[in-house]
Parts: sequence; C-alpha cells; structure tokens
Amino acid sequence: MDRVLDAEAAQLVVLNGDIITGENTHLENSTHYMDQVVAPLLARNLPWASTYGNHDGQYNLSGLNLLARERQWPNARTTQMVFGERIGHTNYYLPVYSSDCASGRESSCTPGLLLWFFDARGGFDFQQHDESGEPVARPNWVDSAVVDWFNNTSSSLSERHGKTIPSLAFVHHPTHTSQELQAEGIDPNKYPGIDDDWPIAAQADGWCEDGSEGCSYGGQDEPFMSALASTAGLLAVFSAHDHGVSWCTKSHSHPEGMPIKGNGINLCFGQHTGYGGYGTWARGSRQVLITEEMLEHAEVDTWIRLESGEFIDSVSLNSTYGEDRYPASPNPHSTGPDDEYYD
Amino acid sequence: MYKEQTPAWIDQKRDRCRSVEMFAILLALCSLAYFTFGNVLPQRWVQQEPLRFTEDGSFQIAIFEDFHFGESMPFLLATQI
Repeated sequence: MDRVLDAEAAQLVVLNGDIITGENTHLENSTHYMDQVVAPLLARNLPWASTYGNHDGQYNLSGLNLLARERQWPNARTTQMVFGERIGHTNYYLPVYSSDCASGRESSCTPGLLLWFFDARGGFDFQQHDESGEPVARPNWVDSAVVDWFNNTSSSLSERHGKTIPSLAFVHHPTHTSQELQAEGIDPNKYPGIDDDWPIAAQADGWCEDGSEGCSYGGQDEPFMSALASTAGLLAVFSAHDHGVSWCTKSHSHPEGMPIKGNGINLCFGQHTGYGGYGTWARGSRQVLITEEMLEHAEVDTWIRLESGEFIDSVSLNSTYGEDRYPASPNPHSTGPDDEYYD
Repeated sequence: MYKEQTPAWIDQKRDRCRSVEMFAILLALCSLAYFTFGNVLPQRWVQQEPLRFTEDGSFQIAIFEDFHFGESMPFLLATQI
C-alpha cells in the first residue's frame, strides 16, 4: 500500500471489501486489524471510504463493530445511511464538490460527482447459530431496501440540484451482469486486464430463487442491476471479490439471457491488494482519475498501479471504450512465501 | 415570635445563579472532555471536510481491495514451518 500511495496522488482511498478475513479472527480483537490497514492512510492524512465484503461479516466479526472501529478516525468517510435488520452497513454516498465551493457552504453547492457505496453482505451473521448449531449464512446481494434507498436518493438529488450529477459506484461483489459479459468473451485488447477467474463469483451465486441456499444463482441481484442500469450519469461500477479478474468492460448490449439491458455503464474490477487471500497475481491498486472537464464528456481514466511500481492496463472509459484497442495486460504474478496459499 | 421569611424574588435570583453556575460547570466539563478525548468520541462530534476536486479540477481515487488481513495459514502449511 505504501508503494502505491507514494507512486500516486490520490485524493481519496477506497477499501473495496474483504479488508479482514473475519473467519480467522478472534471475537475480542477482530476489528483491530483495521488499525494496521489504515495506518499508511493516517500517515499521509488521506481520507478513505470502505465497502465491506463477505469476509468482513463473519461469526466473530461484526460489520457494525468494524464501522465503529473505522469511525474513530476523522479520515474515515465510511458511514451508514440505510438501517434495517441484516441489510448490511456500508450503504451510503459521498458528494465531491468543486474546489470553488466555499468551505462551509457546501449545502448551497451542487456536487460535481457522487460516489455511491453498497454493502452486498455475504459471509455469516455475527454470533448467530441455526438450529443445527451452524453459522447462519448472510445473503450475498445488495438488499432491496438499499436498492429502494438508492433509487429514491438518486432521484431526490437530481431533483434538488436540477441536473443529473455524474457518479461512480463501489460494491465488493460484482453483479451477475459482469458474469454474463465475461461469458460472452472479454477481448484482451479492448478490455485489458486479468481474466483468470472463470466464471467470476457474483451476487446471488449459491442461492435459490426462494431464498434458500444450494442453487447456482437465485437472481436476487436483479433489482440492484436494474437500479444501476437506470441511474442517469452513473459512469462505472467498481467491484472486487474475484482476485483473478481486473478488467473493465462496458455493458453496451443486452447480454444473452440477462433480463436487464445494459446502458453503456462500465463494470470494472480492481487489482487484488492483499498478502492474504487466494492467488499469486501481482498485488496492486486500481487508480481512477476524474476531472471536471472529463466529466462533461462522461469520461473517466483508470489504470492499475502495482506494488512493484509498474503502471499497467491504462484505459479511458469514454464513449469509444470497447472499440479502442489497448495492449493486452501483462498479468504479472507476485512472489513470496504466502503466495500459493488458498483460503 | 416569627421567623422572617426570605423574599421570594431573592430565592428566584439564587436559583437562577445556581442554574447559570451549573451550566458553566457543565460547559467546562464538556470542553475538557472534547479536547481530551476528542479522538475517541463518536465521529459525529468531529467536523469532516467534504471531499473536493483539486484546484486544477481533478479527483483521483485509489482502490484497494481483498486485503484479507488476519488470514491464517492452513494447518498443513503451518506444520511444515
């Protein structure tokens, strides 16, 4: 993390889930690993915003306690805006204002950008057992109450400010749309990036339509996919979860079998960051550069900065993304004593 | 013989003084607590600067993910060390 932060000039760090492997932690100090994670950010006085992944919600690790741990620091922008039983915690949005919006007068300014954060849950309920003594699995999709909040809040913001505000979204689990688009084929020269996790694991995988477990896919992420596809100004969705995937693709067509029509939204994965977790892909971080000028053209630049310092897979998520040609990803792998460990 | 009673207006004035005194003590304690323990109070007590584009109109986000802090080695690998 230090090397990436030193090589780049970020205004915000996003921690996009699976920050902690909760199932390997003890109840008494499971949230304390967050102190180690954010130490480089505190040292640089960088703000951060988190989403939680399936490993961040486990029998000994509570999302609520983790959020409380984060928010002991002023740098943490992670918060909770939607409340309900078992719907997750990291559901919120952050506005980004222009530099000429006077400090303290933000309520009278229109944000130049909105950042949406969603909690797709997964993992297990905190300190809960079922009748047979087994941990209780949590649904691994964005809850419908959160989708309602997203739709209502997005509309409300547009109405209040009298315009569509460009936005980006972050959620640990990708939606099924990404899985379907992968199945159609990811051209390495149009969508450069790692494509080694096949098929990708996505929301609602492992669940049945009736909400029970044990099926391949239950479809419960359809409301969320529909909300994303119908949100004007949403330029890209950034997901994680699948360590062996790092491409950005564009939902420019109606994927075969998908009920939700794509609207040109870019669906991106990042670079696996941690020394923990499966796989030997080089560790790194996806960088996203937004300028006020580029937003007028609905464009965003993004690339991968590796721990080694290498700068790879740079693309422009613009109107011709998916037609433009780029060098294929070099897909380097890392070395180290833990690199062949599978969780 | 009767005991002269304190006029009511004096009692009211004393009550107001006591209220002001107690409010001042409370305010002082709160200030002391804030400046002493401000870093552990709920974050709603701390003013956060909203996110902004830089003066040149740019905003960069660094996304880190799948850290898996706290992950332990499997028993097999652990026994080989």
